[in-house]
Amino acid sequence: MDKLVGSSLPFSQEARSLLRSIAILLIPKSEEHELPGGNDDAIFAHFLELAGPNSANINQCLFDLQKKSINEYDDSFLKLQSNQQLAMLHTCSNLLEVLIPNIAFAYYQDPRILSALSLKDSPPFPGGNVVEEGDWSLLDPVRKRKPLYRIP
Amino acid sequence: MTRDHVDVLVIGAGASGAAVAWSLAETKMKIVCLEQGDWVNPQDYPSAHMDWESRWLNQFSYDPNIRARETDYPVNNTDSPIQVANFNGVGGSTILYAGHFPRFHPSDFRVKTLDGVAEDWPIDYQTLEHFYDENDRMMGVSGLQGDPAYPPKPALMPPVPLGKSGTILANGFNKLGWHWWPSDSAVATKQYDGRDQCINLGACVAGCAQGAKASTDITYWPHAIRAGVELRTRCRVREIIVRKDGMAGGAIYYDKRGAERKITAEVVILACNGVGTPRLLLNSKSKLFPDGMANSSGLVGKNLMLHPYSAIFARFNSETDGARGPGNCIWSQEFYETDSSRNFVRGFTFEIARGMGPALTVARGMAEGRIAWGANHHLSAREAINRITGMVGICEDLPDENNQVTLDPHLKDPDGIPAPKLHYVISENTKRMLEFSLARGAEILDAAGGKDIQTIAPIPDGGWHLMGTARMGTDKNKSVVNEWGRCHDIKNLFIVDGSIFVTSAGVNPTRTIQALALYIADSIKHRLATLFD
Ligand SMILES: Cc1cc2nc3c(=O)[nH]c(=O)nc-3n(C[C@H](O)[C@H](O)[C@H](O)COP(=O)(O)OP(=O)(O)OC[C@H]3O[C@@H](n4cnc5c(N)ncnc54)[C@H](O)[C@@H]3O)c2cc1C
Repeated sequence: MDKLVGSSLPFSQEARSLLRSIAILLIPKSEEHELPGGNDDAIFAHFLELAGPNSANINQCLFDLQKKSINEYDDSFLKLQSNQQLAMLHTCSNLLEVLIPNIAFAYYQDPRILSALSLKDSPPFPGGNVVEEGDWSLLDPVRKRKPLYRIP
Repeated sequence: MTRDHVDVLVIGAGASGAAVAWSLAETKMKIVCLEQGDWVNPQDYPSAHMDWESRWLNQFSYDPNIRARETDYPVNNTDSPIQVANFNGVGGSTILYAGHFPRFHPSDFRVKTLDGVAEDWPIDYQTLEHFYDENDRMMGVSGLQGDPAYPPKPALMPPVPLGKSGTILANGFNKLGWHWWPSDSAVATKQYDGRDQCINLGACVAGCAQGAKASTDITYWPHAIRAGVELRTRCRVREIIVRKDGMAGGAIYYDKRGAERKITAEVVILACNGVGTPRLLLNSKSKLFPDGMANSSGLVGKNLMLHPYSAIFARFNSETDGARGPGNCIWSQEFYETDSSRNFVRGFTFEIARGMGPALTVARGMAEGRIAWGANHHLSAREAINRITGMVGICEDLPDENNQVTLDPHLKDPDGIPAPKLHYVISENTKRMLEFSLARGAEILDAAGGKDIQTIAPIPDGGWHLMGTARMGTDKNKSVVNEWGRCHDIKNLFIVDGSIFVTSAGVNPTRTIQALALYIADSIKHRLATLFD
């Protein structure tokens, strides 16, 4: 637990283990949708990159989480049952606030996830996207209106 | 050492600096533009990368305090509910703008006469009309003629597509019998002036890798440079020099290496935007101008207007465009003009925002508790991705001297130049307008079949439009520049950016900023022989 705050790397080994366990709690693996969880290696590596600039804050939140876990269950967060972990996470709004965006961004920018969701799995450029022109006859009632603007 | 002397010095290479430099180039005067930022390489834009959504919120964030590049300056927003958004580089904030390109309405120039508030502009719609047209040609504007909310105006290219989101919301407007129209957009929907056409990258506000969006680095600047204007990048101006006769003498700036340099000029034109220009004027203190330059009225930095935005979004059962396609789509000016039955004067424009990318949709949804985490995550994420659309309401902000830009006593940019600080409060009139826009927006989404309506007002990071801090007028006690952009106090110092706005109207400002810059350039050209009289 001492290694959570003040480590020279953005995240110590212990912090990474905790973050991995939280990532899979937030975004679990889905057999039904054939999707990996938030702790998938490539996704987790991207998560660490995104979270890096915020590491001091995140490490402090992890330290608080571990302290709470030891106070309440007399054990590390990592050793708790998943229902106990979930219950604890629900009480850690500060931690969720910093982790959720990074986990969501790491997960939903992974080409495998985007492809499984039938979304574009490559950068927007140079391929672009198709957007239908639409039916401009929808404008007909508006075309019939008198001028709306005031002439001073 | 050779003296660095020019006829015209333009400071700032954004929307207005580019326009004024291009227009003056035909005079064959020696023109130099100093810009603190760099040219942006289109390959660096987020949309050329897989992780475009996170790059957009970091390296290409529109918040200079998050982006924090060496070429940026910090802004102290702690005394404002709305934070400044900008970009510093060739193209200025047009690098990141959405390219929504509305004109002002004729009534916007006569606010006092028509509605008894603020001040009338010293010029009118007719004065600017020709310059709007000229700017449209230079930037390349797409749209559809015949909008009953406007006097007739040209459309150079077909409008941006309606798409799924536009279709859903157009049906909502039609059910209520309310106005809507395809948005005028500074986005090339066909090949235009050497630029390729829009391919619906959908990341306009992160910079357009395709070059379809009209940022001035690819519209005005190539023409201006070909016509002989010299554009120097990584040159950050610290202050305007004052000559013994009280005229502007040029500028002191820091180059890329941080070395202090001096350039002298016959005419100085400021184009640093509604925050950068008052900052520079207030930083230019001297014996002659102890309160900063051009500030005998005490109005430099005052009357800051920001356009508080409301945002109203909902989830739909059918698919929306999500992040596909230009953010611009359709707009509504049903509530634009003053209506005495409402509890506020003036009005606003609704602009439809097609949707968001998957990562942002989920990150926001999870943070706000609308998308589950844990066991139900995948199902609830699927119900939100490409299922959300809505609109923003751009509310007219009236001038108030208490809303202002000052210099922060501690905060400095990387060259040690004092940074700006905002002091800004949303007026009661605007608060009522925001409330009204939220309610009407919710009605539209409801009529269109939306569920789970979400609202925000004001958008806290939405200080995109920076106006009013060196306003135009004929009375030198009530304005900073005259009716053709020349400072009342200093006859060879001009301002062409959003600072000179008298009122803000309820539309995005850039088309008007650029039309004004062209009009001021034209006024200079017509008066060359008597410019300083
Ligand atoms: C995310 C975003 C979305 C927007 N969307 C829209 C939209 O859809 N429609 C619309 O009309 N407007 C939009 N805007 C606003 C629009 O970009 C601005 O209105 C417009 O660019 C302002 O033009 P300007 O010439 O006043 O200043 P800018 O374009 O901001 O240019 C000012 C330039 O001056 C330079 N500068 C400042 N100080 C110094 C100094 N001391 N020395 C040297 N250089 C200096 C800056 O680096 C910058 O390049 C948006 C803006 C943002 C950030």
